[in-house]
Amino acid sequence: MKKSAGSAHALYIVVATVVSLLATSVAAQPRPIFDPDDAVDPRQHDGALFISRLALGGGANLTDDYRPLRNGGGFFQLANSFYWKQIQLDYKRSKIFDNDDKVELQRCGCQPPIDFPTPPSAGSTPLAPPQSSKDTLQFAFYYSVPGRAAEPPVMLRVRLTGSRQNIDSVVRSFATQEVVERRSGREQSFGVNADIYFRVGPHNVWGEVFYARTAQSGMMANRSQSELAYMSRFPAVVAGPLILRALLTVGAVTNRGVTGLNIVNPAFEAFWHLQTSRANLHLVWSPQSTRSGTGGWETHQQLALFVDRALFVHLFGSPAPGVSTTR
Amino acid sequence: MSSKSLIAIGLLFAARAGLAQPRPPSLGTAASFAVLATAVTSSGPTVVTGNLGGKSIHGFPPGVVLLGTALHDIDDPLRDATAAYDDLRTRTCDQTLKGDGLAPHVYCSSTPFTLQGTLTLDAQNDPNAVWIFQMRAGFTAAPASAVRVINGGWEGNVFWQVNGQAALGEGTAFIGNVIASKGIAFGAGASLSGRALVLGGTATLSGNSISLCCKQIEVFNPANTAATAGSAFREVFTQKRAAPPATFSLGSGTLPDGIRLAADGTLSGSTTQLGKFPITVRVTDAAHCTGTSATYVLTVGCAPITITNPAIDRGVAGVQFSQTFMQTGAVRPFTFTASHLPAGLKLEEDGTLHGEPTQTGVFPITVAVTGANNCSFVSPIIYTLTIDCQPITVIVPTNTTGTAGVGFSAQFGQLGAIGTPTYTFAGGPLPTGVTFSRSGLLSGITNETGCFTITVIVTDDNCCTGTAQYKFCIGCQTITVVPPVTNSGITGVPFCEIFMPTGILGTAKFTSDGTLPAGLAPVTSVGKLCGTPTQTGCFTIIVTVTDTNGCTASVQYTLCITNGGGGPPPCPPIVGSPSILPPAVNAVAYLQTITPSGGTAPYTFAVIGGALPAGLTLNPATGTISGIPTVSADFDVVIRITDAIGCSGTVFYYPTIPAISEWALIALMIVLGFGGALITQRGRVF
Repeated sequence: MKKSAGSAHALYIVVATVVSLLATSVAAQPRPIFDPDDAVDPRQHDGALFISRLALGGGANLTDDYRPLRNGGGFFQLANSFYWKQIQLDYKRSKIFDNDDKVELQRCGCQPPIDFPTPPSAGSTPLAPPQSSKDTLQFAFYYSVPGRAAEPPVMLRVRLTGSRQNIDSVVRSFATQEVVERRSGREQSFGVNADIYFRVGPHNVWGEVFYARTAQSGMMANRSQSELAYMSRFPAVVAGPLILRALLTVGAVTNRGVTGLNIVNPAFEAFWHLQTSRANLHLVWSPQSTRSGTGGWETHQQLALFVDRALFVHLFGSPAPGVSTTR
Repeated sequence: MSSKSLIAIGLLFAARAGLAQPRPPSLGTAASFAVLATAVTSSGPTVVTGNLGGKSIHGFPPGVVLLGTALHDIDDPLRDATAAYDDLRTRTCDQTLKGDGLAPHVYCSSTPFTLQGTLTLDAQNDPNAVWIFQMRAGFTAAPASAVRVINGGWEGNVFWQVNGQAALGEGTAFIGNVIASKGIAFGAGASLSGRALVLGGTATLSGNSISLCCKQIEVFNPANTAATAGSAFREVFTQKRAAPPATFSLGSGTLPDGIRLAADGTLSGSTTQLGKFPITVRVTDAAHCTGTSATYVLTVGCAPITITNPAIDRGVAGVQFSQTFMQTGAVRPFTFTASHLPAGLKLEEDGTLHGEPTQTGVFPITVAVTGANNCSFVSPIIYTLTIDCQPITVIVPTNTTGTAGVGFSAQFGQLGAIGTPTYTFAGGPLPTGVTFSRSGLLSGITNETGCFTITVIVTDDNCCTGTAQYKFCIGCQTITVVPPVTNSGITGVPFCEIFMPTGILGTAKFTSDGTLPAGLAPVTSVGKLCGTPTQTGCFTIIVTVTDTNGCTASVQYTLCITNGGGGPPPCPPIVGSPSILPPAVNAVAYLQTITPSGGTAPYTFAVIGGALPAGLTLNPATGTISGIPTVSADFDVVIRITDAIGCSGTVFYYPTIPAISEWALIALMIVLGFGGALITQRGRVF
């Protein structure tokens, strides 16, 4: 991100550009792969800022919180973010269309009844819940820490995230295909993530620490998990119109039958900002390796291609010239 | 609390403990597995409904897994299955596995156990009934065997703890949770409603249906088990709780030919096989679940059979007879049989009674018919067949004459007799010496003469008879009288000669006719001609001999008595005149008398050579030739003239004009000098 100054209009344009380019910070896990980074340095806007971003695309071998989906498919996410001073509020709604949104279980007529498909065992990697629409509320707070000498302070963010999605299951009789039970449950996740910045010699190291707790209800096997991960953001490389970035996430997720490190998730993204449409085109390859007690290390070659477009409204005041940082 | 109350509570607990049923073990994570084994091998179209667990799985496809998935992460399920196995193994066995209709208990067998047929587990209306079978030395379900739960039980509450190898034979319809320590082998087409869990070993599948998601399918047998051979049969098996479409099939046993079980449970068709046919019917529903019926014993009995006797019940021996018995109800090809048939008649399998009876009488015939299915029926209505005698014709001999003293033989014959005919002389006079044999031969030598009419009866083997009268005549034998050689005597000299008869039967009796010289007595009855003649001359007498039968023979005897001791006088020459007879003219009355001369009258005349012209006759007494000639001809005849004492002369009458050949001969003889002599002979009497 370049420092910009000038007229208010020029500043507005700069903010818009920055916001758009921020989206290049592709969401590494545990955020959905199609969830762009939405951090906006408070110093880049004077008053309140509202950004609405729509992401559309598709992918293969997608995962959800380190849980593989049964099928690949399309996805969308509509993120509405409100920025005011050091505060950021987000409401996001997303959905993956992988035909699993209405999971139908088959129940055999034995006693006690047994529903199929049988969920993975407790010591294995669980499946992602049915991908109904997920609503996410986030509250973020920006704070600054000193940067290098002769450099402005570094703006970091800490954010609380709560998400929820309903899980509606239909249980049919295997023999008659009649609906014998309808289950309504949900999956809720609460987490916190914080940006981390430190210096190693002449290098600035940017990263993020995540912690989340996910709980389920209404599933055949309500698998809860806690995850703690660190994601390292490597410097971007500009190659013509493309911006290439890499991420590496390592961490641990519980209830997989193993202890210790069981997540290694690099991600590579090619990003192209389309000036004419102001849309961003993303191509992400994210080989996610997870380890479970029964399956050992398993890698899901996630691949996603999507486009996002942001609309932003400067609600109060005007973008103020200041200092911004890039991450 | 009083002591009585304590005792009562104690008894109550004891009773409850005695009634306590086994509780099912916990299968844990193994519960979702229809098949679980370290290694699973399948061949053919195996269908597993539920999870299929195995570290190595082969044969899927072509095998398919419905509802569940094939899972290789089976440590937890194996652990839970092992725990269940151990739980089952340590249960206290309270029953020995035997019999049928087993109540919920823990059964055990310390020896290798083989299940044969259908094992029924009776839940006794307890939906939570649990059966535990401890198979401590392996378990085998024989092919086509089955296990079923009745009266409200649940198949999932049946547990087979098999120490070692479990084998479910071909076509087995098995239920329950089979937890085997070393392996499970499924025969082709075997089905399992439950689970096949192997703790350490291989589950070998072969086109099986294994489902843990089955509701208990109850199969209800039709109430009617009786079928009639040859008649249409239709009954319907029904079921309850099968997921449509339910398919009925034969679980075990064999149906009789012609009866088939349709997929909708209809047992129908028509059979000719008799007997009892125990079967079980299996229902397979859309979820590949099976249910097995109780044993249904189809009993095929005989259809009612009737026999109708022919209307005609009389026949004639030796005459073709054909009547047909009719039947209803017997299965073709049927076979008629009968008893007490007259010989010669045969009852064909189709009921035709035919043939030529060779036996007469009244025959109470019992007829039975047996169908192709061995259904038989013996008619209670006796068919009384009367076989009458056939006509027997006695063939009398063609020869009806015989000769006394000569062997006589006449053979009777017959037509129509059956068997060996017997000839019986039934009456009439038989001449002495002639006998009648049973073979019909009338033979013998008889001295009797006359005609005899006899009655002969022919009797055949059936005592049928034929009668005929036969008349035959015995004629006189040839009798001759041999006159004495001596035919001359001398007056005054005693003369006695005897006539000898030949061919006489019985006593010969002589008579004589004629004039004897005086002094001779007539021939005596014994044929003697004796006396002393006193009269000369030749005397001819007829001596006749008659035997006992009256048969006679005569001889003419001429005795010449000479005078004084000389021999008989020589015969004088006897000539006749005229020496030449005028020729006969056709149609002109002719009369000419030959007048003899010489000899002793009276004379007799006879033609001894040649013939008179046609139309003319010679009077032997008068010598007159008379008549109306029918031809014109010269006489060419020789006439003998015999006098009273037997002397004879001969007159030759030849044609007056020689024949051409004679003329030629004459001419030749003239030439040769003999002509005069020949001519001299013409017209002369020698």
